[in-house]
Amino acid sequence: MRPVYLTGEHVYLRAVQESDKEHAPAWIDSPFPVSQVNAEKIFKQIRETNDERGRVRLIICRKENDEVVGGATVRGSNRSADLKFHMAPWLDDADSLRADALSVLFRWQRNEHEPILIFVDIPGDQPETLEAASRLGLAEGARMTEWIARAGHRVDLVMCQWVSEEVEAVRA
Amino acid sequence: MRNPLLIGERVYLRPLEKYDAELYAKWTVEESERFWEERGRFPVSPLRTETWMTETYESDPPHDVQLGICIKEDDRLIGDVGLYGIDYVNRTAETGSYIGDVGARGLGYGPEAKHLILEYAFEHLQLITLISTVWEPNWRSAQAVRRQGYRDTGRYVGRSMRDGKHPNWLVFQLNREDWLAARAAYREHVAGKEVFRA
Repeated sequence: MRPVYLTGEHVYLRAVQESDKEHAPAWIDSPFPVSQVNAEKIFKQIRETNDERGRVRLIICRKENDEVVGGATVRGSNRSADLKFHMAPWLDDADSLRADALSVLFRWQRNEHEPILIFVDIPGDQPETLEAASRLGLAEGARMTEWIARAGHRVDLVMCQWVSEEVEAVRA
Repeated sequence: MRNPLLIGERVYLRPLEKYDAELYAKWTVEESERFWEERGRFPVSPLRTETWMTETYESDPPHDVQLGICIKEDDRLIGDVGLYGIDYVNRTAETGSYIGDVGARGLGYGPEAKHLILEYAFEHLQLITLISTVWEPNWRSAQAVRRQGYRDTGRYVGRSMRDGKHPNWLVFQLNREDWLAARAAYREHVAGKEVFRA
Protein backbone atom coordinates (compact mmCIF):
# COMPACT_ATOMS: atom_id res chain seq x y z
CA MET A 1 0.00 0.00 0.00
CA ARG A 2 3.04 2.26 -0.33
CA PRO A 3 2.45 4.92 -3.01
CA VAL A 4 5.66 5.24 -5.02
CA TYR A 5 4.93 8.91 -5.65
CA LEU A 6 4.70 9.64 -1.89
CA THR A 7 7.94 8.02 -0.84
CA GLY A 8 10.89 10.00 0.44
CA GLU A 9 14.32 9.23 1.81
CA HIS A 10 13.19 8.02 5.24
CA VAL A 11 9.39 8.01 5.18
CA TYR A 12 6.43 7.36 2.95
CA LEU A 13 2.88 8.67 3.20
CA ARG A 14 -0.20 6.57 2.54
CA ALA A 15 -3.97 6.64 2.94
CA VAL A 16 -5.57 5.87 6.31
CA GLN A 17 -6.42 2.21 6.91
CA GLU A 18 -8.38 0.35 9.58
CA SER A 19 -5.29 -0.92 11.42
CA ASP A 20 -4.11 2.66 12.04
CA LYS A 21 -6.44 2.87 15.03
CA GLU A 22 -3.92 0.78 16.93
CA HIS A 23 -1.41 3.62 16.59
CA ALA A 24 -3.82 6.53 17.06
CA PRO A 25 -1.58 8.72 19.30
CA ALA A 26 1.12 8.62 16.61
CA TRP A 27 -0.96 10.35 13.95
CA ILE A 28 -3.80 12.21 15.72
CA ASP A 29 -2.84 15.70 16.85
CA SER A 30 -4.14 16.44 20.34
CA PRO A 31 -2.63 17.70 23.58
CA PHE A 32 -4.92 15.23 25.38
CA PRO A 33 -4.76 11.41 25.54
CA VAL A 34 -5.83 9.76 22.29
CA SER A 35 -7.27 6.26 21.98
CA GLN A 36 -8.89 4.08 19.32
CA VAL A 37 -12.15 5.94 20.04
CA ASN A 38 -10.64 9.08 18.50
CA ALA A 39 -9.47 7.11 15.48
CA GLU A 40 -12.93 5.59 14.99
CA LYS A 41 -14.40 9.11 14.99
CA ILE A 42 -12.05 10.12 12.19
CA PHE A 43 -12.81 6.91 10.26
CA LYS A 44 -16.52 7.80 10.49
CA GLN A 45 -15.83 11.25 9.04
CA ILE A 46 -13.79 9.75 6.21
CA ARG A 47 -16.56 7.25 5.38
CA GLU A 48 -19.32 9.87 5.53
CA THR A 49 -17.69 12.75 3.67
CA ASN A 50 -16.13 10.71 0.88
CA ASP A 51 -14.18 13.84 0.00
CA GLU A 52 -10.75 12.87 -1.26
CA ARG A 53 -9.76 16.35 -2.40
CA GLY A 54 -11.21 18.90 0.04
CA ARG A 55 -9.27 17.48 2.96
CA VAL A 56 -6.78 14.66 2.53
CA ARG A 57 -5.50 12.82 5.60
CA LEU A 58 -2.38 10.71 5.24
CA ILE A 59 -0.40 8.47 7.55
CA ILE A 60 3.38 8.94 7.72
CA CYS A 61 5.35 5.66 7.98
CA ARG A 62 9.03 4.93 8.44
CA LYS A 63 10.38 3.29 5.31
CA GLU A 64 12.65 0.77 6.94
CA ASN A 65 10.03 -0.95 9.13
CA ASP A 66 6.57 0.50 8.21
CA GLU A 67 6.21 1.98 11.72
CA VAL A 68 3.45 4.63 11.91
CA VAL A 69 5.36 7.79 12.91
CA GLY A 70 2.88 10.57 12.21
CA GLY A 71 0.03 12.05 10.26
CA ALA A 72 -0.41 14.79 7.69
CA THR A 73 -3.38 16.66 6.28
CA VAL A 74 -3.81 18.70 3.13
CA ARG A 75 -6.70 21.13 3.15
CA GLY A 76 -7.43 22.58 -0.24
CA SER A 77 -9.60 25.50 -1.26
CA ASN A 78 -9.46 28.15 -3.99
CA ARG A 79 -6.50 26.35 -5.56
CA SER A 80 -4.41 26.71 -2.43
CA ALA A 81 -3.19 23.94 -0.12
CA ASP A 82 -2.59 24.09 3.63
CA LEU A 83 -0.26 21.37 4.91
CA LYS A 84 -0.23 20.20 8.53
CA PHE A 85 1.92 17.59 10.27
CA HIS A 86 1.79 15.75 13.56
CA MET A 87 4.57 13.41 14.59
CA ALA A 88 4.41 10.72 17.29
CA PRO A 89 5.39 12.47 20.54
CA TRP A 90 7.79 9.70 21.63
CA LEU A 91 10.14 9.96 18.63
CA ASP A 92 13.72 11.19 18.94
CA ASP A 93 14.03 11.92 15.23
CA ALA A 94 10.63 13.60 14.71
CA ASP A 95 12.07 16.76 13.17
CA SER A 96 14.09 14.84 10.61
CA LEU A 97 11.15 12.63 9.64
CA ARG A 98 8.81 15.63 9.42
CA ALA A 99 11.28 17.41 7.15
CA ASP A 100 11.30 14.41 4.83
CA ALA A 101 7.48 14.15 4.90
CA LEU A 102 7.19 17.86 4.09
CA SER A 103 9.46 17.45 1.06
CA VAL A 104 7.40 14.52 -0.24
CA LEU A 105 4.03 16.14 0.36
CA PHE A 106 5.04 19.54 -1.00
CA ARG A 107 6.44 18.15 -4.26
CA TRP A 108 3.40 15.94 -4.76
CA GLN A 109 1.04 18.87 -4.29
CA ARG A 110 3.03 21.30 -6.40
CA ASN A 111 3.71 18.94 -9.28
CA GLU A 112 0.48 16.96 -9.52
CA HIS A 113 -2.29 19.13 -8.10
CA GLU A 114 -1.08 22.48 -9.40
CA PRO A 115 -2.12 24.75 -6.55
CA ILE A 116 -1.26 28.40 -6.93
CA LEU A 117 -0.32 28.73 -3.25
CA ILE A 118 0.94 26.30 -0.59
CA PHE A 119 1.03 27.15 3.12
CA VAL A 120 2.59 25.41 6.10
CA ASP A 121 3.08 26.67 9.66
CA ILE A 122 6.26 25.46 11.37
CA PRO A 123 7.23 25.98 15.04
CA GLY A 124 10.55 27.79 15.41
CA ASP A 125 12.13 24.89 17.34
CA GLN A 126 11.98 22.51 14.36
CA PRO A 127 15.17 23.50 12.50
CA GLU A 128 15.30 20.55 10.08
CA THR A 129 11.72 21.14 8.96
CA LEU A 130 12.39 24.87 8.55
CA GLU A 131 15.49 24.11 6.51
CA ALA A 132 13.55 21.70 4.30
CA ALA A 133 10.86 24.35 3.78
CA SER A 134 13.46 26.87 2.73
CA ARG A 135 15.01 24.42 0.25
CA LEU A 136 11.59 23.80 -1.27
CA GLY A 137 10.96 27.51 -1.82
CA LEU A 138 8.56 27.95 1.07
CA ALA A 139 9.38 31.46 2.28
CA GLU A 140 8.55 33.01 5.63
CA GLY A 141 5.35 35.04 5.18
CA ALA A 142 4.69 35.93 8.79
CA ARG A 143 6.09 35.11 12.20
CA MET A 144 3.96 34.86 15.32
CA THR A 145 6.23 35.69 18.24
CA GLU A 146 6.25 33.24 21.18
CA TRP A 147 3.05 31.66 19.86
CA ILE A 148 3.55 28.08 21.04
CA ALA A 149 3.88 26.92 24.63
CA ARG A 150 6.67 24.46 25.45
CA ALA A 151 7.73 23.26 28.87
CA GLY A 152 8.90 26.43 30.63
CA HIS A 153 9.16 28.65 27.55
CA ARG A 154 7.42 29.70 24.34
CA VAL A 155 8.57 29.49 20.72
CA ASP A 156 7.70 31.38 17.55
CA LEU A 157 5.43 30.03 14.83
CA VAL A 158 6.82 30.58 11.34
CA MET A 159 4.11 30.83 8.68
CA CYS A 160 5.67 29.68 5.41
CA GLN A 161 4.24 29.98 1.92
CA TRP A 162 5.05 29.06 -1.63
CA VAL A 163 3.70 31.26 -4.41
CA SER A 164 3.32 29.87 -7.93
CA GLU A 165 4.64 31.56 -11.05
CA GLU A 166 1.03 32.03 -12.11
CA VAL A 167 0.33 34.26 -9.11
CA GLU A 168 3.69 36.01 -9.37
CA ALA A 169 2.94 36.87 -13.00
CA VAL A 170 -0.42 38.42 -12.13
CA ARG A 171 1.13 40.38 -9.27
CA ALA A 172 4.07 41.65 -11.34
CA MET B 1 -30.12 44.73 28.21
CA ARG B 2 -30.64 41.07 27.41
CA ASN B 3 -28.16 38.50 28.79
CA PRO B 4 -25.15 40.84 28.67
CA LEU B 5 -21.75 39.18 29.09
CA LEU B 6 -19.66 42.32 28.78
CA ILE B 7 -20.90 45.88 29.01
CA GLY B 8 -19.32 48.98 27.49
CA GLU B 9 -20.29 52.63 27.29
CA ARG B 10 -22.72 52.29 24.40
CA VAL B 11 -22.74 48.62 23.47
CA TYR B 12 -22.84 45.29 25.22
CA LEU B 13 -21.98 41.76 24.09
CA ARG B 14 -24.40 38.87 24.48
CA PRO B 15 -24.55 35.25 23.31
CA LEU B 16 -26.10 34.81 19.87
CA GLU B 17 -29.37 32.90 19.65
CA LYS B 18 -30.94 30.96 16.80
CA TYR B 19 -33.57 33.68 16.34
CA ASP B 20 -30.76 36.10 15.36
CA ALA B 21 -30.23 34.15 12.13
CA GLU B 22 -33.00 36.01 10.27
CA LEU B 23 -31.28 39.33 10.97
CA TYR B 24 -27.95 37.98 9.71
CA ALA B 25 -29.68 36.94 6.48
CA LYS B 26 -31.13 40.45 6.14
CA TRP B 27 -27.67 41.99 6.53
CA THR B 28 -26.24 39.87 3.74
CA VAL B 29 -28.83 41.11 1.25
CA GLU B 30 -28.39 44.73 2.32
CA GLU B 31 -24.58 44.71 2.13
CA SER B 32 -23.42 47.96 0.56
CA GLU B 33 -19.71 47.33 0.08
CA ARG B 34 -18.27 44.88 -2.38
CA PHE B 35 -14.81 44.96 -0.88
CA TRP B 36 -16.05 43.97 2.54
CA GLU B 37 -15.57 40.28 1.78
CA GLU B 38 -12.71 39.06 -0.35
CA ARG B 39 -14.99 36.42 -1.81
CA GLY B 40 -17.61 38.95 -2.91
CA ARG B 41 -21.12 39.44 -1.61
CA PHE B 42 -23.60 36.59 -1.39
CA PRO B 43 -26.90 36.01 0.39
CA VAL B 44 -26.61 33.66 3.35
CA SER B 45 -29.54 31.42 4.29
CA PRO B 46 -30.80 31.78 7.87
CA LEU B 47 -30.88 27.96 7.97
CA ARG B 48 -27.14 27.85 7.50
CA THR B 49 -26.57 30.60 10.06
CA GLU B 50 -28.74 28.74 12.58
CA THR B 51 -26.60 25.63 12.16
CA TRP B 52 -23.41 27.61 12.58
CA MET B 53 -24.74 29.32 15.73
CA THR B 54 -25.82 26.00 17.23
CA GLU B 55 -22.52 24.29 16.51
CA THR B 56 -20.58 27.20 18.01
CA TYR B 57 -22.36 26.84 21.33
CA GLU B 58 -22.41 23.03 21.44
CA SER B 59 -18.69 22.43 21.98
CA ASP B 60 -17.51 22.58 25.57
CA PRO B 61 -15.08 24.15 26.14
CA PRO B 62 -15.86 26.20 23.07
CA HIS B 63 -13.58 26.12 20.07
CA ASP B 64 -14.97 29.54 19.07
CA VAL B 65 -16.63 32.28 21.10
CA GLN B 66 -18.93 34.46 19.05
CA LEU B 67 -20.89 37.24 20.72
CA GLY B 68 -23.50 39.60 19.39
CA ILE B 69 -22.90 43.36 19.59
CA CYS B 70 -26.00 45.14 20.87
CA ILE B 71 -26.68 48.83 21.37
CA LYS B 72 -27.49 49.47 25.03
CA GLU B 73 -30.06 52.12 24.31
CA ASP B 74 -32.46 49.89 22.37
CA ASP B 75 -31.03 46.32 22.55
CA ARG B 76 -30.59 46.33 18.76
CA LEU B 77 -28.18 43.66 17.45
CA ILE B 78 -25.78 45.26 14.95
CA GLY B 79 -23.04 42.65 14.44
CA ASP B 80 -20.68 40.32 16.21
CA VAL B 81 -17.18 39.89 17.57
CA GLY B 82 -15.46 36.63 18.22
CA LEU B 83 -12.51 34.49 19.19
CA TYR B 84 -11.87 31.61 16.81
CA GLY B 85 -9.79 28.45 17.07
CA ILE B 86 -9.19 28.96 20.78
CA ASP B 87 -6.15 26.94 21.83
CA TYR B 88 -6.36 26.37 25.58
CA VAL B 89 -2.85 24.87 25.77
CA ASN B 90 -0.94 27.52 23.83
CA ARG B 91 -3.43 30.16 25.05
CA THR B 92 -3.99 31.69 21.61
CA ALA B 93 -6.94 32.51 19.36
CA GLU B 94 -7.88 34.44 16.24
CA THR B 95 -10.08 37.52 16.56
CA GLY B 96 -12.69 38.82 14.17
CA SER B 97 -15.50 41.34 14.06
CA TYR B 98 -18.39 42.24 11.78
CA ILE B 99 -20.82 45.14 11.79
CA GLY B 100 -23.66 43.76 9.68
CA ASP B 101 -26.05 46.67 10.15
CA VAL B 102 -24.92 49.11 7.43
CA GLY B 103 -26.43 52.06 9.31
CA ALA B 104 -24.34 51.28 12.39
CA ARG B 105 -20.96 51.46 10.62
CA GLY B 106 -18.60 54.37 11.18
CA LEU B 107 -20.15 55.32 14.50
CA GLY B 108 -17.48 53.84 16.75
CA TYR B 109 -19.45 50.79 17.88
CA GLY B 110 -16.96 48.36 16.31
CA PRO B 111 -13.85 49.52 18.22
CA GLU B 112 -15.80 49.61 21.48
CA ALA B 113 -17.04 46.05 20.94
CA LYS B 114 -13.59 44.89 19.91
CA HIS B 115 -12.07 46.16 23.16
CA LEU B 116 -14.76 44.23 25.05
CA ILE B 117 -13.94 40.94 23.30
CA LEU B 118 -10.23 41.58 23.87
CA GLU B 119 -10.99 42.10 27.54
CA TYR B 120 -12.79 38.76 27.49
CA ALA B 121 -9.82 37.10 25.79
CA PHE B 122 -7.10 38.45 28.06
CA GLU B 123 -8.88 38.90 31.38
CA HIS B 124 -11.51 36.13 31.42
CA LEU B 125 -9.96 33.34 29.32
CA GLN B 126 -6.39 34.38 30.25
CA LEU B 127 -5.17 34.06 26.67
CA ILE B 128 -1.61 35.24 26.07
CA THR B 129 -1.53 36.31 22.45
CA LEU B 130 -3.96 36.73 19.54
CA ILE B 131 -3.82 36.73 15.75
CA SER B 132 -5.92 38.71 13.31
CA THR B 133 -5.83 38.59 9.51
CA VAL B 134 -7.11 41.35 7.27
CA TRP B 135 -7.69 41.34 3.52
CA GLU B 136 -5.25 44.03 2.37
CA PRO B 137 -7.71 46.09 0.28
CA ASN B 138 -9.83 46.46 3.42
CA TRP B 139 -7.54 49.20 4.70
CA ARG B 140 -10.05 50.45 7.22
CA SER B 141 -9.96 47.15 9.08
CA ALA B 142 -6.16 47.18 8.97
CA GLN B 143 -6.11 50.66 10.48
CA ALA B 144 -8.60 49.60 13.14
CA VAL B 145 -6.61 46.60 14.34
CA ARG B 146 -3.42 48.68 14.48
CA ARG B 147 -5.24 51.19 16.69
CA GLN B 148 -6.28 48.30 18.94
CA GLY B 149 -2.60 47.55 19.56
CA TYR B 150 -1.96 44.77 17.03
CA ARG B 151 1.50 44.66 15.45
CA ASP B 152 2.15 43.75 11.81
CA THR B 153 3.85 40.35 11.66
CA GLY B 154 3.81 39.61 7.94
CA ARG B 155 1.48 38.68 5.12
CA TYR B 156 -0.03 35.84 3.13
CA VAL B 157 0.97 36.74 -0.40
CA GLY B 158 -1.80 36.52 -2.97
CA ARG B 159 -4.10 34.51 -0.72
CA SER B 160 -7.27 35.60 -2.52
CA MET B 161 -8.33 36.67 -5.98
CA ARG B 162 -10.36 39.70 -7.01
CA ASP B 163 -10.62 41.55 -10.32
CA GLY B 164 -7.88 39.40 -11.84
CA LYS B 165 -5.42 40.27 -9.08
CA HIS B 166 -4.12 38.41 -6.04
CA PRO B 167 -4.28 40.75 -3.03
CA ASN B 168 -2.45 39.86 0.17
CA TRP B 169 -3.83 39.08 3.58
CA LEU B 170 -2.08 41.03 6.31
CA VAL B 171 -1.23 39.17 9.51
CA PHE B 172 -1.30 40.89 12.91
CA GLN B 173 -0.48 39.82 16.46
CA LEU B 174 -1.68 41.28 19.75
CA ASN B 175 -0.23 40.73 23.22
CA ARG B 176 -1.86 41.72 26.48
CA GLU B 177 0.56 44.59 27.22
CA ASP B 178 0.04 46.16 23.80
CA TRP B 179 -3.71 45.82 24.17
CA LEU B 180 -3.71 47.50 27.60
CA ALA B 181 -1.77 50.44 26.18
CA ALA B 182 -4.08 50.69 23.18
CA ARG B 183 -7.17 50.50 25.36
CA ALA B 184 -5.88 53.33 27.56
CA ALA B 185 -5.24 55.43 24.44
CA TYR B 186 -8.69 54.55 23.09
CA ARG B 187 -10.39 55.57 26.34
CA GLU B 188 -8.47 58.85 26.36
CA HIS B 189 -9.41 59.47 22.74
CA VAL B 190 -13.12 58.94 23.24
CA ALA B 191 -13.30 60.68 26.63
CA GLY B 192 -13.73 64.07 25.02
CA LYS B 193 -16.41 62.96 22.59
CA GLU B 194 -19.93 64.08 23.40
CA VAL B 195 -21.48 60.77 22.41
CA PHE B 196 -19.43 58.88 25.00
CA ARG B 197 -20.21 61.35 27.79
CA ALA B 198 -23.96 60.97 27.28
